[in-house]
Amino acid sequence: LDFSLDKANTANVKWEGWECKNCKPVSGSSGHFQIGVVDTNTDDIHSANTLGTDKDGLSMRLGADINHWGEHDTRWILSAKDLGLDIASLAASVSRAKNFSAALRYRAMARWDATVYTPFAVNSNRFTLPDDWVRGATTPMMTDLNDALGPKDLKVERDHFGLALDKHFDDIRVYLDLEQQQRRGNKRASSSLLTNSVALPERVDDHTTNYQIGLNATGGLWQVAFGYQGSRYRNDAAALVWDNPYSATFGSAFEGRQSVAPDNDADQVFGRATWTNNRHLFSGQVVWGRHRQDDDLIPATINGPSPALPTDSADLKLDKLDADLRYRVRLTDRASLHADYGYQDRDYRHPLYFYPQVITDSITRPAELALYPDKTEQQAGLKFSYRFARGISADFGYRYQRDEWENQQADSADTNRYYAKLRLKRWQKVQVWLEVAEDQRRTNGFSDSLDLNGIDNDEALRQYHLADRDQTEGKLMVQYQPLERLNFQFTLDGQDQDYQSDAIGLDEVQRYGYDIHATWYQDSYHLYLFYNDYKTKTRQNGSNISSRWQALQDDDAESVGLGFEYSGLEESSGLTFGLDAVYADSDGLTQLEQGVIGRYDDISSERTTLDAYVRYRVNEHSSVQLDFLMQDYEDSNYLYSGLSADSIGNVLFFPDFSHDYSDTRIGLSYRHDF
Amino acid sequence: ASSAWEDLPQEEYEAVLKGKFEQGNYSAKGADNCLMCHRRNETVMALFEGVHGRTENPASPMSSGQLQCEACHGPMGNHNRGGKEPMITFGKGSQLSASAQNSVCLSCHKGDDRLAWHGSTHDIEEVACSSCHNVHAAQDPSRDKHAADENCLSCHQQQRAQIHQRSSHPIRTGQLNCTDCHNPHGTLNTAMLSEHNINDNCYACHADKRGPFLWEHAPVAEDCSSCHNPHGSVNEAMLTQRTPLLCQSCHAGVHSGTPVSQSGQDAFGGGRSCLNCHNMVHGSNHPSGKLLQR
Repeated sequence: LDFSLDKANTANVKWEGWECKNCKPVSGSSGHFQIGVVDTNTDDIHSANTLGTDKDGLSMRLGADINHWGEHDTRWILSAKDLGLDIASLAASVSRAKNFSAALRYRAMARWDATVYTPFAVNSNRFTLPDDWVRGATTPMMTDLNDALGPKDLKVERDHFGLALDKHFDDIRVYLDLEQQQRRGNKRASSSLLTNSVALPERVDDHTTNYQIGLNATGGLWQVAFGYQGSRYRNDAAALVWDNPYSATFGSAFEGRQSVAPDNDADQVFGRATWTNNRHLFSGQVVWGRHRQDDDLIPATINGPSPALPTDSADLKLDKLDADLRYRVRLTDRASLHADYGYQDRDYRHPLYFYPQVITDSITRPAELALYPDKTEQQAGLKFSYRFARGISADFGYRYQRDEWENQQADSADTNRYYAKLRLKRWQKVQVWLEVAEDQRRTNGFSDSLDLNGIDNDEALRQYHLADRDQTEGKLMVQYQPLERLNFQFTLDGQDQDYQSDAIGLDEVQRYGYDIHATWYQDSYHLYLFYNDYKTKTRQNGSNISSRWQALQDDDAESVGLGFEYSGLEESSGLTFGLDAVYADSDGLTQLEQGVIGRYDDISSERTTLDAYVRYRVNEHSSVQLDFLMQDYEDSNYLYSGLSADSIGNVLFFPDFSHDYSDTRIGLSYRHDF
Repeated sequence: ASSAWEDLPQEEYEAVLKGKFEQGNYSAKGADNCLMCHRRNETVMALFEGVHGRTENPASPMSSGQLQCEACHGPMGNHNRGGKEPMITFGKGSQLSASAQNSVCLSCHKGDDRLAWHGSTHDIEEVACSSCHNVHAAQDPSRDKHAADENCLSCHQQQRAQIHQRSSHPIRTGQLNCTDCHNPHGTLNTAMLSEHNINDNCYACHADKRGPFLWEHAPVAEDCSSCHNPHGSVNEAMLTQRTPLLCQSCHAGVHSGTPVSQSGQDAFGGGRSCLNCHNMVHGSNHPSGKLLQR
């Protein structure tokens, strides 16, 4: 069925009587603004991910959503959310539909990891130790270590600034989109000298500029789009240098040096088109892109003079070509056939050089040739869809994929996938979806046990992204709607990935779980409830060439959420209530068996979030809102639970930074609607 | 009398509407005819608060020379003469298929990010435009990012579970939205991603991982999702497995395959595990960085 406007039979329309006297579009401004304060009580900066700020105490909070209709149906929109907090957004736009639009946007994002304790002071990209630092061969021998530990927040703030312009010329639209992303803060990092390592709160200070220009056109049965996308990443740091806290066993290695993310450029041009007459559909796209990087190389050594390098700068290029085609034909009213083809090519283009491998200033390995993982991927699929009767339909599909690699352990792989999907939507109150799929990947031409890094592995090793694999998937989804506004949904999901059991690497990954979700809407209230439980079991075989071992990771994640909003008292008392509560628990058990069974400590997290509000309507235009946000959180990770800075002789790590807190935010705001 | 129409099998119901559409028996006075009865309905009149209710923009269905209400709801025919002859309707209560409803919307809203709608997963799964959008409102509900995410998660339940796991992109806290990575109107890319492939999608925000690096880590350069689940994981950094076992799935040498039977004891099982030394797992730009240590 096609009710397209351009197919409407308007031959007999008597336009002279169409005055639309009762059409009264709104004009002027409407919307609301909100001004308030929040009082945040934080013990751990990690809570700021939910509370929106790590600032303890009072903060201003502003919000608005204002819409203005001006002359000639020009629309102005201003929206702001949580201005004054660390997570906030602001957007302003002016537009006339199908004519022009201009939009400015700002988004402040942040990620809070933890407050860690480190003896290093961060000074630009140098990490320095106190003047009276006592070096040691091992961390327990660094006698001033515990006194030197000072707090450092691992927090990365990210600001997005955007400008979007577009203009329509009949059926042609041209657009320009600019975006600047700026990141500042510190993140977890490590660095090493031979067999000793240190944890560092690496400074993050970089920006990325993305821009896109393009043209979209529609005409008759055609739609086409052309465009260019560019991206420039610039890192303020060129390298990361740190005082060596360990005794300089080798020569005068008093400092360590590590590379950082290089400045890089990405450019791509694309063309897309669709043609459809409802019976036939052709779609396709071609995308050509290049990633470039030409940072000056840092010395191969850490402290002493560097051996000569084959080139001064990286001069790396990666060319990419993506092409996709899609065809669909409606064979009958009941049957259709879909076919698609995809091609992806990744080709590194740059001179191949041998680079000196300096382990410390006085220990070198032979120069190594840098090799690059070129790849070509082709996919073709065929799907037959059939409607057996009203509300009963099914898909039957086949997909073939061919991967070809260079400079990897395997040459190529062929994957065959078969799948089917049944939809039962025949009944008013119940809908059912059932999906099953199976695929087999068979890899060809394993070269030898050397990996790309030139490291000798157990010859039975099969890296999981290259290895032979059988995969089975199934999914059942049932929707039950006993009343018009009451809806239940149940989802059961499972997947099994089976690798060769006699190979080293992954053996089997099983994922399965279910989800129950219910919603109930009425005029005066809205209620939702969900519960889910997903498990993942991962079995792997390991080897250090001389002996083999097995490991099991047994993960269980569940979450339950309840929320409601009640406005039934608004007319009588002016009150509206809302509550959102979520409990989420992630647990992982890890077991390793090599003759005897060893178990790792826990990896777990338990989070309860409560978000509640009560709003009192003072009059038609004004209301006051009190809100309360609380997060109770506890986690552990076997890698650092109970760890002190000197627990491991050759690892100067941050002391245990597991989280255990209960932080809150209370807000009071005034809202004016107009 | 309306129930008689509602009891019609869908094929017959659609055939009636198709016949009306082809006959083109439009009202004598356009929207004024419709609003004689429907102007007391708040939902109907909310159209004039939004962009579809404008009268001075020729692109609006309510402007002069356009078919006004009947642009979307089809010719009135005998709808106003008793018996409530059916009109084209939208939303959950509609007896029309999603593709029939969508044909109305897509006749104006084509091109741009809807270019690949036809043949996309949401098209095939009969997702109606009105599942997410409402033209009889001051603001389209999909402008509320939180509500839009809820819309996605109401079907994509596994992703709902994952965003509540130990590590995930900050979707549940509203910093990111599903549409920051996916285009629900369809693309020709994997998983309706906005960018052309998985890695380009990640690089849109993580350009520091883009390289190319002097020393590449092959699975990273090939597919970020080899090691990360972008929707969430019980492990840190959305890793599909935890260290050192993740690394040991692919490295089984004398050094790298050392079994760690107890955690927290040494450089392999404590701190950042393998990353204590091999920090540059996303690629190294150090001339001596072949082992991704520098």
